[in-house]
Amino acid sequence: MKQALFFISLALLGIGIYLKFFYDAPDTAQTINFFTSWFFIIIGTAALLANAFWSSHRKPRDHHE
Amino acid sequence: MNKKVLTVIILAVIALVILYLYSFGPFANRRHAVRLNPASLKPTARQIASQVINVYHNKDSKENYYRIAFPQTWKVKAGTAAGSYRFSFNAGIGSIELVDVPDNSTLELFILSREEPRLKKNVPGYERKGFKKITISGCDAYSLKYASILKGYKYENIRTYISGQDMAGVVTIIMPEKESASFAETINAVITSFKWEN
Repeated sequence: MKQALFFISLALLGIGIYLKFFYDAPDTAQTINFFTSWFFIIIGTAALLANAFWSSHRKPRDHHE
Repeated sequence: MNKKVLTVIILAVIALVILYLYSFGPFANRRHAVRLNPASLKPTARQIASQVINVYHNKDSKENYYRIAFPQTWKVKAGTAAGSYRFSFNAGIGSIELVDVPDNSTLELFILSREEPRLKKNVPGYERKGFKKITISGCDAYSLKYASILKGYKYENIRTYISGQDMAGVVTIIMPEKESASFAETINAVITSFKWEN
């Protein structure tokens, strides 16, 4: 489950970076492209960080299960 | 949920709120603030035959630097967008702007499928007079001539689209139809003086 979330987060971040730096949005879609690209970058980065921090704070009893 | 995860979520929510404000909220206009390069409005004068011309080197928009020459008698000022000019001469007015052509389109298709329908809708009395492919300073270009009517007077409009690496340059000239013949040579010299400088 954690691995699936990790790859989804990575995909979101990748889509965001693509839209921000490599996709040539038409003049009429500049605002929506700005919002969408940063939205994906923020959500992707936050999900990756949350995923990383979640694993580092596993409760000790989990290791015995 | 541990403290670090909670902090990440809170920071993400704050970032999203700021993003919304800069995209659609009260700070959206800050993003659109035009960054005009003062150097774009400092022409260099040159003498060609009997006429003195001012050569403007526009350096507003990276990847879209260009130069264009006007007769010294023409009044030129910065436009509202980066990479644009507004100008006037004793017979008419005009502008230069940069337009973004979508990657999935060609310049010709863009003109015929987007620009011309837009002009038909917005320009009173629009009537196409001509559309042809030309070459300006080694670049493909398209010249769209059309007539318009304003306050009962008929005007000739020449809109020339010059393809570029990133954006296309558009030179527009509007003047009364009766003046068009006498200014044809000068206008052609201005349009063909356009050159990308990347």
